[in-house]
Amino acid sequence: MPYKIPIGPYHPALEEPYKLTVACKGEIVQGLDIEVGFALRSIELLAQQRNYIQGIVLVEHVCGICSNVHAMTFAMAAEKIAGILIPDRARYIRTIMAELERLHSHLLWAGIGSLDIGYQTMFMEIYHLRERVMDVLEAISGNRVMYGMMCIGGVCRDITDTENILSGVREIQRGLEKDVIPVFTKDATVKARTAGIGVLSREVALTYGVVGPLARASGLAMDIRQDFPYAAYQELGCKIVTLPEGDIQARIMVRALEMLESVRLIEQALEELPNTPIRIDDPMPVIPQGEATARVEAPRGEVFYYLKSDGSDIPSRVKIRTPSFVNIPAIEAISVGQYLADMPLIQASIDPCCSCTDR
Amino acid sequence: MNCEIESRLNRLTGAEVAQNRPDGIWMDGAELNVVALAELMKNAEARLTAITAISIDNGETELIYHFAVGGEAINVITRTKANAIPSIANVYKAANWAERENHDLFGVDFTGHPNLKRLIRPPQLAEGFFRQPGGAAGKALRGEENAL
Repeated sequence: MPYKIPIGPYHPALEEPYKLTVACKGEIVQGLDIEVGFALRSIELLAQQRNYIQGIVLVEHVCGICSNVHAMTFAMAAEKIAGILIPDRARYIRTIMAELERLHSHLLWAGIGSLDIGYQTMFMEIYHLRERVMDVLEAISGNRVMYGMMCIGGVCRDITDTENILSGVREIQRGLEKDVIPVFTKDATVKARTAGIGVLSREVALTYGVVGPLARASGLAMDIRQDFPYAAYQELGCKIVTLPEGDIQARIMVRALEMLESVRLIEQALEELPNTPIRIDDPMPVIPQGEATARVEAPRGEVFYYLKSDGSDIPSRVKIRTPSFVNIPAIEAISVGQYLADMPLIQASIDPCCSCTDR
Repeated sequence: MNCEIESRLNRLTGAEVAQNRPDGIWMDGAELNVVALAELMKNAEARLTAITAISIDNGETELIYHFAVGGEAINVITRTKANAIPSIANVYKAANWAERENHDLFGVDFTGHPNLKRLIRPPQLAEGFFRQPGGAAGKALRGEENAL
């Protein structure tokens, strides 16, 4: 007889609240029901009651990990409506912040993934590297999370100590090349827990519309940094990492290899950092009547904003579509036919962010 | 790809001529057949990015279907009738949650949806919580100063 097991909304296997009701026959998963909404804060509605400057601070709280991306996408949408071109140095600093945030997020996932695999030592090693990137982010912005770097028309703080950033990212690069990537590719325990498990085929990935490392690990060569270049990605270029297998190991590897590309992007952006102001002269630009969309490649995939202005200082509509909103439904597709004991790792492998999903 | 999709979009029943903007192709089609639109986009291997709902007069909702094909963005604006519109969840799995969310927060009835349950808010609460006006209209309603 099939039976049902609830996982969540509050459960040791989950980092954030959502609920999976797993239907099993024996040890095999037969079906899955996913419930979200446990971290709803109505940020879209609140953003329609605050001015644009308050809105940037508010949307930064959509997610505690990729906070900078939300502030940047909101600012980009407002800049599109107003026809604002930000200074070159601001575009490069936005790129550096986005890539540092990607390093932070991917290292966080790699640590939690290692813990789910049962590899405590890797968790410790990776979290040591994550501390290093958070030190760098704190040195730039003054904050370990919620950086407050973005404003409409540029960035709020300049980067002055490039050597500190470079030594931080090079330490992370050494850690990735020496420990993380060899263990993720060669270790027998890691391979046994990840290879061939939780497979998402390219066709299924397309119908679910999944984004980010989840899509790229299923062979879909999509990355907003290349498809819709923003900030300084046009000049710096971006190598997309794709793998065809679609299993958990492919997702782990896509994220690990992407971190090396992030290191390269940060190094190049720092080398070529233009010598211009960091923001436009007008601290409070008027956003005229109009509408625009903006897309950014967050660590988990595409973040999409739609912004509509009626010409007042408050947006008339703010729509936020986060990557986890389209990635979480795909957990159903990758779980059916798998062992119940693999569910903690399968659900973690898509890097679900419930605060993002609920907003 | 761009020209081909644009010309096929323009041939859809109820579609008005598409416009090119910096953030992609935009098309307004109040009488548009959204299921035909979804099938056209799926055949072109387009990804459904999001469905934006905007509360408008008479309890109706403006819906914007945002698609992406490679580096092309396509945004199609349409409107509900009696706050209802056919579901495209049977064409795109990605529409399933997007429609459930808009049903929950804007009260839109997506006819033919396989499982139109509430997504974000508890079922005991009324639908359409996000139908409050934003911008200057919301400011005036709340009695805040400097409303336009």
